[in-house]
Amino acid sequence: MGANSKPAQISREEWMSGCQKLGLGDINSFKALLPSLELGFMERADFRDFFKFCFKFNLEGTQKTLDKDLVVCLVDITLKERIAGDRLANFKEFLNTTKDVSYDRITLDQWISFLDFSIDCPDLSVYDEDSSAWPVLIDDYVDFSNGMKM
Amino acid sequence: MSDTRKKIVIKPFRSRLHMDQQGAQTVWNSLANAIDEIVLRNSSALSFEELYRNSYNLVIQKHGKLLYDGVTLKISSHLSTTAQNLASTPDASLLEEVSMSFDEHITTMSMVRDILMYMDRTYVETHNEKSTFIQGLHLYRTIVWEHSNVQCRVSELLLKAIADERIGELTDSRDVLKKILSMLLQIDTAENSNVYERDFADAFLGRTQEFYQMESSEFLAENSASDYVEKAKRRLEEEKLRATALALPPTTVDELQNILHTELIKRHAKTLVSMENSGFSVLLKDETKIGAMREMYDLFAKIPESLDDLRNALCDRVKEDGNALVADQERGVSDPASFVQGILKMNDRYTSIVDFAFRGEPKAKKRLKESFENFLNVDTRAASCLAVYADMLLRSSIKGASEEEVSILLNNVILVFRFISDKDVFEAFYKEHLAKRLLTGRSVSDEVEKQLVSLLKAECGYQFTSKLEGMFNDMRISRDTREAYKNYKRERSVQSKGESSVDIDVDVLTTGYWPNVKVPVCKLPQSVQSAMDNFSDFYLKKHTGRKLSWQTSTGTGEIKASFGSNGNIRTYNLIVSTYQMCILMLFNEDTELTLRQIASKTSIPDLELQRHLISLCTPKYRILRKSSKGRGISGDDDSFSINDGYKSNARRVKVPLISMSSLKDVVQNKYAADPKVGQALTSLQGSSVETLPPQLEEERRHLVEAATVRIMKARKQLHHNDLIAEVTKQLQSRFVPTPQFIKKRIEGLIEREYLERNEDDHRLYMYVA
Repeated sequence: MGANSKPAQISREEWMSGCQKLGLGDINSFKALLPSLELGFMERADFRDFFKFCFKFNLEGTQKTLDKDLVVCLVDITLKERIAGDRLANFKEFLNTTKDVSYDRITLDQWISFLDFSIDCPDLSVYDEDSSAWPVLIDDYVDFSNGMKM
Repeated sequence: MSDTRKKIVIKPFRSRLHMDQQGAQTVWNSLANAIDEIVLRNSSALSFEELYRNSYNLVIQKHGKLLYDGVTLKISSHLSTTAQNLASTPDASLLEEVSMSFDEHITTMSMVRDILMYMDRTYVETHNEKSTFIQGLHLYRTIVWEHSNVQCRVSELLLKAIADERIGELTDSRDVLKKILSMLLQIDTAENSNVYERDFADAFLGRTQEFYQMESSEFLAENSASDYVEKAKRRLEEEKLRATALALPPTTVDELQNILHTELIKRHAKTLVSMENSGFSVLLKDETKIGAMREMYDLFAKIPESLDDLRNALCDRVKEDGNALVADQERGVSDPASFVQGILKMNDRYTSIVDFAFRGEPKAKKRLKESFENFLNVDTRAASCLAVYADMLLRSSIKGASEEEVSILLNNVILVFRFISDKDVFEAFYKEHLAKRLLTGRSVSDEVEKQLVSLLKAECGYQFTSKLEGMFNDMRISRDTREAYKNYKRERSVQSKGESSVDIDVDVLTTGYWPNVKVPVCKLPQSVQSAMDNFSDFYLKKHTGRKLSWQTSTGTGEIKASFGSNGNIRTYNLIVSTYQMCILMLFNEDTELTLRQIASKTSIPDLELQRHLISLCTPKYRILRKSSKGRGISGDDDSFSINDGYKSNARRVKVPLISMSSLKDVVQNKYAADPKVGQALTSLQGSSVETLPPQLEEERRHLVEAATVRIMKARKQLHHNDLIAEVTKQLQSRFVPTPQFIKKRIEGLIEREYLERNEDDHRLYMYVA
């Protein structure tokens, strides 16, 4: 919509001009437009870029990391249709329950790796921690997930 | 015109010896008779030339077939007779008879072959028949050997002879056995048959396996492992000799050996190792059994894979011993020095076992080294104990020792050092001890100190020991500085009759080299403070830009103290710590002071204050009187005063500090519950440390990051596994980082944008310029 000034916020003017750009006059055409905005149609590579963008967009100032709670929400919004529901659910739970303070803030590397990891490794039982090149966050997440299943 | 002279016509010569069937038959008959004679060993009466010529003619006249078939029939009939005879020969002489009959037959066939040489060369070739000699062997096999009553019995007799030998019964000479076997081999070679294997070898190997399977199991059930090894050795020898005596072909010998090794060794390998009372595992415990161990090793060596069982037993043993050693140390039964000496003893013992019993094989050596490294590196205890041991050596043990002995002792230190994987922990502990030794002048010999440091340098490189060498340097320079300061003071007191401040000897230490001691400065007596200020002035003028921080937690002072009153004044020179000096000087102003007051007047940290105060109240050195009873300090209100009644035999009294363990015992509840106190106590004691000191953690992080960046800068891009391997390789002379640790640092570097992950391959890292 071209609303660039603040993340997760949109000013009235931005809304108006955005709607005009998209050719939306009333609520019905808006409703009609919505399904096409579903992220599901995006190709994998495009979605990846979009996913990265989501992270960067939400960064404040010169910071390089996002707060964990924000990440939990964002992950939900963006990945809901993309990856298995239970994966998403227990990843969120992992983030929420982990006591490791180094995960209070999440880096871009961890963010994008989670997506790549979810796609590359659908089966957690064959995960090999010792030789993995995924970030340690992922290793800990797999431990948590496997621990839960036992 | 007619000629009356007759022409002589010379007709071409026509051989009259055109043989017809009947003629051929006649010739053949004479040959047949000759063969009979040959068989009867009457060949001397015959003319070789004639027989040869006859057979030659037969062949030339196209009667080859007649000849060939005839010979075949003739030989066959003779052999049939032989076969009958052998079939009815009793067992006892059968082998001899068979052997003889074969020899006879060979002789016969050789002569017959000679006669029929032309036929062999021509008829046989063109008609694809067996040559005479081979035909002879073929006939022997089919008619004699494979006679129903011959072959079976002979085979059985052969096998029985061998079986009897094995159980120690007398048998026929091996010669006849050998002859029969070579007969079978000869037949096989000649006509590509399989009698040797079919009629002897297969059964022989089968019987051998059964025999040894049973014998070995039975023997092992009744006897010790070492006895078994003996017996196995003898059996192997015996079989080897027999094989040679019987001239068994290589294939049989190989198979035989396989069977023997499997049945005697492989099958029982694990039992031999784990047997109660005499198995290899048990032998390892007994120093005197090293010969028996070697015997077992030699036996097992015949099946290389089974050696692993021995090596495993060795490692298990080392592990057990090692863990026992560690447990002792943990329980406090053994002190650090004993721990190290225990390791050295273990090393001696097991090295000699490997050198002798395992014949110094490299694999065993490697496994031994790994076993030691395994139990020693469970935590950092080995590093700290080794540092304490080295400290002990350099403080006292090497006094009076010869150069050689010193070398040996130092090399022992290095020996244990090599096993330690967290070498940086050792360096940290060693540095602390070295600092104490240097500052208190306790080291027996500067040279030996330097010797050990250079040995460490040889092991780990310059980087490892640069700080240690820096410490030595500082001491040396401090000596020079002190000289210079003395001169400086002399000049100054000449110029200005200034305040006579106290004499001080200062050691100036470079912060980076020495262990970190972040203790705030305490409040010092004025005379001392001014002396320190004078020195500071002097030093900073010499070295502008430097900053001096006084370490009041160390150092000693000499105080002239007078006790008693009225006529009986005793003066002593007390040698005390800096803190004690501050405490004592307070009593020039006040007669009685509480703990709280002393604490506030001197700003000495809690635990140290207690330690130094209690040291002044001990029975032997009761310089101060304490109001509370017991060894410890009751609380902030406990009060102290000078003990006027103090007496000593010596003029100069060196007041010792109570040890940390004694302090631990007397520290009051108020302090005992404080976790920081507990930690301070254990860290000062320097015994088994479970976690790394924090500055080491940080140092390790820096080292890994620096190495990672360095490597990535050179390689530009590298796969995860390769990067981990490279970093580990670069750092392992100092400590061994886990892959997880390195991974975490890599992530940190990604975040700080030194590296990035490749978009398409998450396992590939790329350097960000």
